[in-house]
Amino acid sequence: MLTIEHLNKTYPGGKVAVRDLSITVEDGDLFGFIGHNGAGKTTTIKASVGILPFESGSIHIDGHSVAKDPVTCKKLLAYLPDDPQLYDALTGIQYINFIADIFRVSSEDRRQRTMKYAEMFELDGSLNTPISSFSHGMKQKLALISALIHTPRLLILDEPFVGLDPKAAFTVKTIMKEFCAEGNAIFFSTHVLEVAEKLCNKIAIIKNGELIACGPIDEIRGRQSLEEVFLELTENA
Amino acid sequence: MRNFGILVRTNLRIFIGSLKNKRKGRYVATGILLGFGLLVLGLSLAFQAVSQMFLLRDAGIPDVGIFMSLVSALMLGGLFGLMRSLNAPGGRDGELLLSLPVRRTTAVLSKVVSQYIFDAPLMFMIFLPSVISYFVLANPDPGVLLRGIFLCFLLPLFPIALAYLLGSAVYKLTQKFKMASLFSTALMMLLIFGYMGVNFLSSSILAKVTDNGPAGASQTIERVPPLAWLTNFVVRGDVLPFFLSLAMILLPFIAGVFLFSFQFGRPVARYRSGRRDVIFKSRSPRRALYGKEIRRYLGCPIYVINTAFGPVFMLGLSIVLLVMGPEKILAGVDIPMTDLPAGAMTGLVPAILFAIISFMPAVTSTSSVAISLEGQKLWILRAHPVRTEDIFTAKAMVNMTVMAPAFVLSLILVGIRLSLSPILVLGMCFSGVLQCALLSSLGLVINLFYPKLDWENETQVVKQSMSVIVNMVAGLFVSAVPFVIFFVAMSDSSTGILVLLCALVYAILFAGSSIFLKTAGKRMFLRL
Ligand SMILES: Nc1ncnc2c1ncn2[C@@H]1O[C@H](COP(=O)(O)OP(=O)(O)O)[C@@H](O)[C@H]1O
Ligand SMILES: [Mg+2]
Repeated sequence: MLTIEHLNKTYPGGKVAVRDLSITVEDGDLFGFIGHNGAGKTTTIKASVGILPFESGSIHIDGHSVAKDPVTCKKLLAYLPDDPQLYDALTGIQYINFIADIFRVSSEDRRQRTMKYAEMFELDGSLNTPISSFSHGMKQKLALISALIHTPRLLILDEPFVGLDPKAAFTVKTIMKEFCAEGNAIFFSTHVLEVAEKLCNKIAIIKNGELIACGPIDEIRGRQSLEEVFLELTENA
Repeated sequence: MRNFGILVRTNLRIFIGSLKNKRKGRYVATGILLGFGLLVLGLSLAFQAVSQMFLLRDAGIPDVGIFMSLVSALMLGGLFGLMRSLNAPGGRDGELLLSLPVRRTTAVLSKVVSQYIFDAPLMFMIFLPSVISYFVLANPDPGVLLRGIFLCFLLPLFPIALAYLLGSAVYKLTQKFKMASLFSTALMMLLIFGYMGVNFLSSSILAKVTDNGPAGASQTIERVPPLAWLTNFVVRGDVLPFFLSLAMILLPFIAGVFLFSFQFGRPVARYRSGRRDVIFKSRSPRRALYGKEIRRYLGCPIYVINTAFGPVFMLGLSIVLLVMGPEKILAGVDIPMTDLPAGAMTGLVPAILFAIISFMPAVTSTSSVAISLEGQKLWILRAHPVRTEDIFTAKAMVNMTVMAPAFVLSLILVGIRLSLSPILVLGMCFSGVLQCALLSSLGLVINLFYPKLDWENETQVVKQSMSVIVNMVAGLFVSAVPFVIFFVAMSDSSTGILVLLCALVYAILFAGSSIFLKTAGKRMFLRL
């Protein structure tokens, strides 16, 4: 579904954020991307969704190159940034309608899906309110609803649990599991190890822009806890 | 007291930091540029004040000099205040400051004082030269100098008061209404036009002053009481004007600061809808993009104010023309009808009007900041499967929507009044629409070259970003096209040919900028 091969990204000014990184996410994978602050997670994710140009390496989504055929790739995926800045001048429902229009979702489908997710997130009472008066968590929920509205095949989430209340976090986890059970894939970054441990079937650990472990979670963890493995790997690498 | 000093210093530092570009070395350059700009402005204002005072003294009416520079100080201060009132009260750091161990009064006062420090230089530059030259040239009474300087220190309070008072009114509106931004836009437009009216009136009053001599001068000044108080206070030092002036500036200021401190750091309770019925309406992606752009435009008062002037002026001019007729307008600019060659009404006059109307929408275009205004939200357009061409088109169409209908309507009004042939009017409209299209795409090109995405508030983009200035210059060139063609090629051929030639030039330039957007522009957008 998502293939990253030998990705290199240097920011203007010389900061090497990602170095020779390769990751493969297959259909049905719930793939966790773990690393300390500033490890290069957001950089990798932005490159994968086609909003950050990179120098070398390749990223393919379902066989389409992100660099060469971005629009086709973007049709297959949905992206939720770590800080979802949405159009303040629009109301919640206007934003959802905007995204649904871009993906040509029929009125009936969008009604059904919006109602389902808005109820799950208890956002159904705020849809007619301008986004400018939404809290961070509400914006995140809205962004997630509009990500799911067009039934993407790949979800790319950047720190999806930051700023969510426990109930919403639980809802998000449920949605994520459901989504992957249907044969779709999720690639998400986090620095909360417990979440990754419980949720993912595969993980990758990144440190200072370089991949230090990647594969099925059981293989990486062995008999230790993920925390022990993470600390061990990141100290020694 | 120590906290107060720290806060004021930080406020100033934030202001200076906001000028700073990310790239190194720009810091000093910006500082030098700013200092140089201020120096040039100050010198030219001083020169103007002194030379004006010479003239007025020789006419025996030096008091008018004080009066006039008061008018311009208050006018400019007023505009500053108006613009600033559109920003959120207290800025974004209100909550942060209040979470620190700083007293509320200290935090509020530090904001007020910092604002004063920003406003004072301009007010000084406008008013102080007049006071000093009045003292030197007309009335060597030390009291005049003292009172004038005292008033200099009072004047910057005026824009502050205005900004706070209007700001809290706007703030109240945003809590109550969904379309509050439209209300405030309309309010600001009215106020600004009011100001321009006052400006116009005062210059016509002054024209009479110079005709009527000293007696007429004081009579005219007395006709504008608040300004008369201030003038008389400086010139004569009477007690009553003194208290009246104090009250006039201090009372609104105190009220404004009071309101400001009341709202400072309070969460901005925006409009919330209780409606639960949700409307799902599907549109084509292009319509959706356009709809989003239009909402963005209408949701930002300062953006609307900045760009709606062109169309409003165009319509205003053509309505005035329709009502008063071309004779009176030409007489107003000292061109009596008898001076015009025969047949001017169908040749020369429409050509000039066409050129003037074309000038109006050229210098402000919504496109020149349309990309910058995406700011931190640019990711939405980039992470979704939309073609860059469609994004450009949606943005350009906003400018077309704002400019083209007003353009066409004005040309039709001109056509009706001058009973031009329908074909000529049609040609003018065609050329007008082409000009709008050119300006719409040119604005985007300019914005791509001078993007500004890391802004704090929209004013920084709409008023102070490089692309606006460059666009203004480019607009001047575009609007010069009819004039150039008129003077170079066709002083004696028909208006029809002028219009046709303009259309041709616009079409070529439009094609050029569109091709640029489709190729290099697209790549630049993806690299932003
Ligand atoms: N726009 C940028 N310009 C320069 N350096 C950046 C930029 N964005 C991120 N970086 C640097 O790249 C590295 C990786 O950042 P990021 O991918 O955001 O980390 P993470 O998301 O894992 O916390 C960090 O050292 C950060 O300082
Ligand atoms: Mg990150």
